[in-house]
Amino acid sequence: MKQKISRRNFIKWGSLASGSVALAGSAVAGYEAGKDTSSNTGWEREKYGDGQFFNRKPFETDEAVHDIQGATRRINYEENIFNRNRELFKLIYNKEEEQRWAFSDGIEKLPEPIKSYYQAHPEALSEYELSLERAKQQRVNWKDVKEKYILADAWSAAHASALYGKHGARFPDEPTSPPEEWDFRGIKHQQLPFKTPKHASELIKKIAYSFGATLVGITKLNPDWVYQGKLRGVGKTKFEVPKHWKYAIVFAVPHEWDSMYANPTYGSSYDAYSKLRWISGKLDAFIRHIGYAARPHIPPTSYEVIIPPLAVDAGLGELGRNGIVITPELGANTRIAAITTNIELEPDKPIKVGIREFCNKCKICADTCPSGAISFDDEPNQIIRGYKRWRINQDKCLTVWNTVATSHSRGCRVCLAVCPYSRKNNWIHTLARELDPRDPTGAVSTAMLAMQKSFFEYPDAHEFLPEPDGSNATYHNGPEWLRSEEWCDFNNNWE
Amino acid sequence: MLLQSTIFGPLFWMLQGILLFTFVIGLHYYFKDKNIELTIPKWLLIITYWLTINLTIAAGFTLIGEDESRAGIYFLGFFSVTLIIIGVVLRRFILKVK
Repeated sequence: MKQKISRRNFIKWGSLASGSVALAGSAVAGYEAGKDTSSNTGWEREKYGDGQFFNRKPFETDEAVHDIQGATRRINYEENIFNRNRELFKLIYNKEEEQRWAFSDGIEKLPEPIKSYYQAHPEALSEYELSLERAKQQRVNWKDVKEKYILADAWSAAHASALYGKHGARFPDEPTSPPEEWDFRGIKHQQLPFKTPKHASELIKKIAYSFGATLVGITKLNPDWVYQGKLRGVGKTKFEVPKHWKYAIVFAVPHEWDSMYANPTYGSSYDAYSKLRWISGKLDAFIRHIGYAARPHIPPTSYEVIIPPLAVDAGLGELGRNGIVITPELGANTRIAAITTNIELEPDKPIKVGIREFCNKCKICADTCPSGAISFDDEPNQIIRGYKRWRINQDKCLTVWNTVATSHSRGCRVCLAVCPYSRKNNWIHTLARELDPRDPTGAVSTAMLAMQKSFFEYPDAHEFLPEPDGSNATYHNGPEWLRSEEWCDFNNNWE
Repeated sequence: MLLQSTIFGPLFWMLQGILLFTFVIGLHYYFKDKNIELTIPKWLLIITYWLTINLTIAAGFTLIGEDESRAGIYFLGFFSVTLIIIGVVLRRFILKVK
């Protein structure tokens, strides 16, 4: 006999089925939120400025954000690793044999100012020697891994082409005259009369967003952040900070997210740097067109200012253990440039969102850094030019650039990828980034960090290195559009 | 992407709403047939519990979607066990406390 199901039971069983399907629906919605490329802050398709979605107002502070310990001073030209290594490189590989310098000649035979620098830091010189040896080995190793990483290398080279102008194009131009001339070049119009400095700041920010900036902040220029000893357009010289460098417009963009997560081999520094050049060049032209002076400062080498502390002053974020400005929107995936100008602007205030406190207890970047360059100290305890902070061993960091499986020295960026703040703008991460700064107890960050360390997988630091020390690991798998095995007819020997 | 689709995105969320509504109606009849009287606070607890299950599943799958599969699975494992324990306690509370 056929058993009839009552209407009531039908509703009850139907509702059970509905509940199950709804749970499956939540899984689908969650999965799609994770995959959604519109959560790629800075690479999404949003209205200008929507990438700067974090409301900084409640976290603005009038307290000092830089821990000053005694007398402060400007950074010398040779204290920048790129500058001193460039000097050394020119000496070691000088075309004139009699002018060459070799490591066996010793520090005494080096010219000033790098001689004094290496006398004070002899370990930096031996690290550079090691770094050059690793670079030679890197070129040998590249032959073995070239097929696997050829697309990533080509992608990086494409972005780098906008930086180095090997084919004649470089935008913006590098200065060829003193700032008092160069920063004012081509100004034809009277200075645009802004209603108030606030109007000027708001307009400049909107223009910077329209040129592609994800984050923009404004600060008065602290002279301590200006390099000493070399000035583009003039050469090696001691100089006073030009009077017209009154304010700095600081703007940031992220690296492309999926390649960034696949550092050190699939990512590139140049994708963000080339975007920054483009934005800087246009903003430079715009500012001069409305009658004011402008000078772009762009990584990796075109600058006279140290950009991270400027970004802290401009309220974009806080300085992290890894030496990178960590912002609420982009985490450590933040690449920054600045323009110094004489427009009277209304500066932003620095913010305190608990990043420093988080860095105190996290240490994931230090644990996973393949060079061991990042400090494990519980709190910043190094005095650098009068400021207390964590020290990064730049020389060790560079050695790993010259070691990992790339065609040449083009960075590592593992510390950007593994930073728990480097998360896309989807609901779970944005919930965390909104909750944590509002929690005075620190319980949220402790719980987040416990999950981060227990649930997430990080390769051991040495795994990022080539054999025999490691296995050319990447933090995440490379994105499919950079994996040559997906597109090219190779033998896949590497599998 | 289903949820970014102009047509399927809104339909998906409408369907999800209907399913949740149907589920609550069925639950109402279930408790009625079992002669379990539900006060408003009890209903709120049940709905909160149900939403927490949904959010946990969504969060786990968000992590899986952004290529953090291990984190997603561990997250689901850890919070499923936690939610089962909470569910057992909640059931006892609903049945015992008048």
